[in-house]
Amino acid sequence: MWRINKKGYQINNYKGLLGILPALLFMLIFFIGGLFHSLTLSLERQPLAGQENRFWAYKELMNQSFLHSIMVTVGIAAAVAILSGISGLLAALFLAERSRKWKWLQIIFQLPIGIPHLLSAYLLMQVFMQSGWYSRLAFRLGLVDSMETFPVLIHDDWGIGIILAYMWKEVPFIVLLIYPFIVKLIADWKETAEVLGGSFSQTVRLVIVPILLPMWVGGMWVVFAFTLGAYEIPALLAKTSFGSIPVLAFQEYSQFGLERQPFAIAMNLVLAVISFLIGCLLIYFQMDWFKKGRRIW
Amino acid sequence: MVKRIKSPGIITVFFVMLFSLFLLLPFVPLIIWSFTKYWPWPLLLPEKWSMDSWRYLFSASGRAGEGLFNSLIVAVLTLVGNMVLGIPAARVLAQNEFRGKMIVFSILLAPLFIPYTVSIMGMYDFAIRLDFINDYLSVAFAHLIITLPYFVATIWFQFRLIGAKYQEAAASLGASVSKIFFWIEWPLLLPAVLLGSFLVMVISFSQYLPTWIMSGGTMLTIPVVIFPFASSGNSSIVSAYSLLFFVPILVLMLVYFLLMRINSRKQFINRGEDIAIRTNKHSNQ
Repeated sequence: MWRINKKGYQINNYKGLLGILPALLFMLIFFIGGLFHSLTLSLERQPLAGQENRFWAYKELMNQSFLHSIMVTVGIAAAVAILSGISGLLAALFLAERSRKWKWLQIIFQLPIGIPHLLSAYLLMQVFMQSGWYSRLAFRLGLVDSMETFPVLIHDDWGIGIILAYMWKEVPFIVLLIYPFIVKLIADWKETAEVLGGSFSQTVRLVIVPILLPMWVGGMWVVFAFTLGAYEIPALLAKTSFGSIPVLAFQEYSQFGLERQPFAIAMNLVLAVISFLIGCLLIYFQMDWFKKGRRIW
Repeated sequence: MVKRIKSPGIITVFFVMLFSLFLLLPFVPLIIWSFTKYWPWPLLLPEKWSMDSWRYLFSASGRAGEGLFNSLIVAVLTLVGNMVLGIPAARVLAQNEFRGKMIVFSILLAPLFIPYTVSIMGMYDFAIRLDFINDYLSVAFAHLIITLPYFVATIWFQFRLIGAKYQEAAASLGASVSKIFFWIEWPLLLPAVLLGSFLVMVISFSQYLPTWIMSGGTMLTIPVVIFPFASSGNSSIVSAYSLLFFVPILVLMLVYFLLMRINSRKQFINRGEDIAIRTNKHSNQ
């Protein structure tokens, strides 16, 4: 009676796995399927537009200005991911250290989570513009004497406005992601570290960051992938010749007619491939890191 | 043992203050702009105030009501989809070990790590070939792709915290699978379900590009209504719309905190959670 025979056990085991099927099928059909469907769409010939070659969209992408666009888009995404990763970690550490006293700080730090990117772009545009509120404050404080002396931060050459707007959104995201873990790690390890004579900064460097690293890097990858593909912030805050790929692709997609859509899809596919490759690289490094025995959990 | 109480250094406090101001200050001009039409440069506050933007918002051409309504329908559909697909999947991922689990998990989380715009463009082509699919439904499908990873991750984490001890105990006492789910797992899961639902609704509310692509630019949700104003730079109207946008988010937040409070009143759940966390700590070591 008590012995479960092997076959029954196996069937039971597989029956328990059924719950995952709907979600898995959904993702396979719509996310992966949509991706491949897009790929076939981008390889369609357009005889009416004089595009007989199957790879015309990709051929058209092979030029100097698109390469420049890739550099700009990837560069901005990497800058945003790294900057918000570092500030998010510092902020989360600070919050975890004194969250009991400064509860209101937590509320402030989580406020931007609920604000869409479109509005975050608009909010920052309104304060950082040359005619914006900060330049008015600076004028009142006597720091600038005319609108033109306030530094150009929106629609600028370096994308500073874009980076600021993304950081406004993503630093709180990183904090939200790693804060619970940091609280738990500090509770678990702080006393041990103190007994062994470590200072707080040593605890952070030698215990918390190594344990947290996979999750922290994963969070930065999420930010990177999102920034790579997001449209709203560069569309509002970049100057017209900036060349952010999502903006270019959406222009092609929505304004230049059906026969240009394969071109837009090809651009977006390039972004997806870049994100995938960088992800593979990160996973490889993480495996390597685990192999070297830094695994603590 | 004497406890050292460190006070934060001046530099730390300075940076924290700076960062808080960076997060908070942009809201001030937003509120002011929505109540004025004309606000020239060096003035910190406008001289003339007006309610025109708010009146425009709720006029026939403002379409604020329609935007709110559409956003709400899509968000609710997305949430239902997340519940139906996400909870069973998270349960399996947290409680079972099987071959290829990491692959399944990474497919479910893939939209977080790979820009999803290209998939949605492909989906739109599907949708126009299958002409009969309702617009609300197809937009909700697009949002479902974007939100499902967040939802699954949240629920998965809570399932891991709960562990499998209670379910085993209940099963050995003869409880059926559905009984175990509704009487043991669901109450313990509720905080995570609430948090996940809040995230899903907020993310669904804020999508511009997926909504536009999936409906071919025809469905007016709030971001789709706002975007043209924002890029043409009509500050007053955009500010009014933005504040309107915060209303559903604030309502959601209130509902979330209210439900959390009601939930934590129930003694049983409190006790359950404590034990769950404690057992989890042991199993971690």
